[in-house]
Amino acid sequence: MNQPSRLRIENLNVFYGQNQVLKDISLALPDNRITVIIGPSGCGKTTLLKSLNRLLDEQEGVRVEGRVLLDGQDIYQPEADITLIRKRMGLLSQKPQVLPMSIYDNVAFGPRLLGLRDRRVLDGLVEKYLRLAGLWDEVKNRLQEPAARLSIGQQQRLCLARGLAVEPEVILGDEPTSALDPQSSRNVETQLLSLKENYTIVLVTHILRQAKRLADYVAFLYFGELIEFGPASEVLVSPRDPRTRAYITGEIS
Amino acid sequence: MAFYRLSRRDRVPGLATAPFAFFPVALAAVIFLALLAKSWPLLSLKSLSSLIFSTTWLPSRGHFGLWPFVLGTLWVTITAFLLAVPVSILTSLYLSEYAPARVRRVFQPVLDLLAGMPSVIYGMWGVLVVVPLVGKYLAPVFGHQSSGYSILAASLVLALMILPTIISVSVEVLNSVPLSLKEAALSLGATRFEVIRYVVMKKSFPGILAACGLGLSRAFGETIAVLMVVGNVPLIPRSLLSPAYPLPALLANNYGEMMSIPGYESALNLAALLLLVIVVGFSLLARWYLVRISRRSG
Repeated sequence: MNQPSRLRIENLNVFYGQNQVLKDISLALPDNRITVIIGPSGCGKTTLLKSLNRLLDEQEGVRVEGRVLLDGQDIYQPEADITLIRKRMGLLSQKPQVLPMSIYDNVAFGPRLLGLRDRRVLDGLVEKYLRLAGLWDEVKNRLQEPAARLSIGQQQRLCLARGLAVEPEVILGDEPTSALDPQSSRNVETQLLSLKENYTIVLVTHILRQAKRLADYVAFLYFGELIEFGPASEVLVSPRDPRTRAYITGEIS
Repeated sequence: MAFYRLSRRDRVPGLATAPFAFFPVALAAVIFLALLAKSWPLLSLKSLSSLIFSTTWLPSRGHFGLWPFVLGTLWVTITAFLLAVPVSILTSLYLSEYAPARVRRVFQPVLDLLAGMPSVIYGMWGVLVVVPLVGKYLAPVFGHQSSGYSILAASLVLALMILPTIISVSVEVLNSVPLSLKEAALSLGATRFEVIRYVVMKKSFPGILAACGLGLSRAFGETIAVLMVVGNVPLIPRSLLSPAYPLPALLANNYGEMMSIPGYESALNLAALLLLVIVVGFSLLARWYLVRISRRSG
């Protein structure tokens, strides 16, 4: 594998109190590809994802060891700027988390945090990113409505637009379609596929078929250990490790 | 939505529990009507507005002006509320957003204890500490003479009493904001403070308002601790350092005594009715406002 990679995990260990949830993970996430993390529930997928933009900091009693390098800079360095790191990684969570404000304000939230106030520039950004998330046509006439009135599928695409509006380099998705109906899931998947040209995407999923549809690379996590990582065609079709094979064939779940 | 009739087995529990639900409603109506009936003798002699807005309280001469008491109630309650709300909100933000689990574990039981402490103890503490503090130290700073028994002393004691209630409810409300929502905002590059300001506060606003409303109703009704430190002088208050005589204190001090004076009992019942109307009025206002903002943010 000689994919260029700006986001690298090196010897990452994560503890919740006494409990070690990630064990010595090392992984280079290929640029402009979709890497899908699969594995049984509770194996540390979400923890791994959250370690990438330091959301673990928000939970009490979590200890992180090891390094996560973004362009060669360790994001766990004491002097690292956490908000800047987070801006470089957009997050899509399991259930869409719209902010308690209008559709427009949701998308404008990130740019406004950066100090952008010019209404015309903001208007342009809101339209651009809503289009990019495939939501513009559905909401262009109701931008000032509370975002909570959108359907759940629309909310998730709104979250995507909102995340894109801070111009991240990486998109992190934590089972982003798990709360959605099949049609909405397909919409979100289509958006993700079209976005990988410009973004590095890391997705956690427990749906193997989704992994097959989206993944360029697959990482299999089992009880906090990285068992296997490689191109989707290899890991999903002819896994080397018996545990990966057992998971893919549905023997363990 | 029942588009079908419930079977008998499903109807019985409803029929059995309904009377208990109606009981408090009926009780409220009965209380209101009883107060109204008892104040009627006076109301049939004098106009309501002359009773409410007159400032002379001389029962032995038949003057039953309730305005000093109404003002006393409003001054004490609103001052206490204004003192308590900012402190409560800051405290609950600290407890829910910043405090480590250790601190929270200590604070929660202490707050519950404070909320459950008998109000007469607050009153005694007020007499021992707050009244001298106001009389000896605070009043001279503002160039006033005061015994210390004053609106300020009552408001300070009252503020302290409603703090735990507002804080506990607000903390619950703030804690109910999902972590994943905060994470979503953090992921957009918001600092922790920005998340609190733009997301947590906004999401919690109706709940915190309800918490404040709860504190306000408690403050309106609080009697014993207030009457111990407020001075109980039936005059129009001039400043925070003047004594006052809120409605609950008037009722608690006098009801059942001197009932031989004509019109006196009736006047006290009217005072009680007035207190009830003020409290209900404020809580309706709070409710109306809550409904309005929840409609707006749909």
